[in-house]
Amino acid sequence: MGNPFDKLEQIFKTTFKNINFKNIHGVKIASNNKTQITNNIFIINPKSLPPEIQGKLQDTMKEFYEEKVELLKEDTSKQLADYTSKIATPENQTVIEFFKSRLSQEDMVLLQSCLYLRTVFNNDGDYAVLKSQIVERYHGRGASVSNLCTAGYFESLIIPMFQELERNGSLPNEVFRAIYDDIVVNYPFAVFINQRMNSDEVEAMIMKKIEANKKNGTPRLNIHGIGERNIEVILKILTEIEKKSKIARKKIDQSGKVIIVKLEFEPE
Amino acid sequence: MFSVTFDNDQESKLFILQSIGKEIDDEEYVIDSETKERVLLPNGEELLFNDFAGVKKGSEIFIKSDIISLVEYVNKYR
Repeated sequence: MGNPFDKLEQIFKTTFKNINFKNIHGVKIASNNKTQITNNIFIINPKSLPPEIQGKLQDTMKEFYEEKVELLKEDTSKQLADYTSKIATPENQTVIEFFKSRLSQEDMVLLQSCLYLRTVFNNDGDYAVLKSQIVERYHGRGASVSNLCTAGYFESLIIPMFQELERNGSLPNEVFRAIYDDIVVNYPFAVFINQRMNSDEVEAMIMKKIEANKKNGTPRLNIHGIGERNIEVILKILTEIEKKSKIARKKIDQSGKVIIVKLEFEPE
Repeated sequence: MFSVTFDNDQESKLFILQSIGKEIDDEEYVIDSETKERVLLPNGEELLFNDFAGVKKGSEIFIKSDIISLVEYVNKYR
């Protein structure tokens, strides 16, 4: 690439005589800012420049792009750095390494996005937007994988289950994917309460899963909720659930905005 | 490494797109200024101006502003 400092200096040397262009690490186009240098970034408001200089700047942007500079929206650039850092944690890499040669590329992208979502959530970041983006693209499968991932089921149940199944040899990919598909569609071991469900719907969903699990010999169910409203709904319907099902053991773990109710019952 | 970024406002995004020979059609999709064809994302989806988040160096590989597109971009091109 041609020297970017020289190109910028040629355009701006008469307007910004006191700038040392060699100290600049990057350019940010920002139409609502003042043209200035902050933290070695040359912030340029094109509107503040004469048309002739605007044209030269666009030619230079094109040269940067053609000669190997990525053009990124600033918040996307920050999210890219944040994703790269958060996805590299050992706990995320363990899950990725286990699944990467087995799942389809599409399912891997979903899983990686959900692992990032979980890390953002665990660091009190804004996870709601991320979750809506995941659900918008992957619909119910996106909601399901993000719920299972955030609740830690990939490490606590799903990977150990596959390891057990593969104790005597690897499963063919199509078999592995069919089992994975069944888990993320049905997940018999848990229910996740969301904001759109009313108390009656929550109760019906839990009862349906309890009845199915009793018949299938799975004597437990975990109920997950995030946020004050969902916690309130879960606690409210719990009494009704206990009246209708023979619950042998109940454990409520509530920490801040997260609740997990662990139910154990007798199989039929 | 030298970087080029832009703010999320319409004028900054349009300035960058025009720099690389793109513009917006009547339905707010990003199009090529010469051919007038709509720009496509790696998954074949047409790119709305509002969703434009960047472009890979020296290529026609565009990035949409959501986490899925970003992860796909990292997996395929980084």
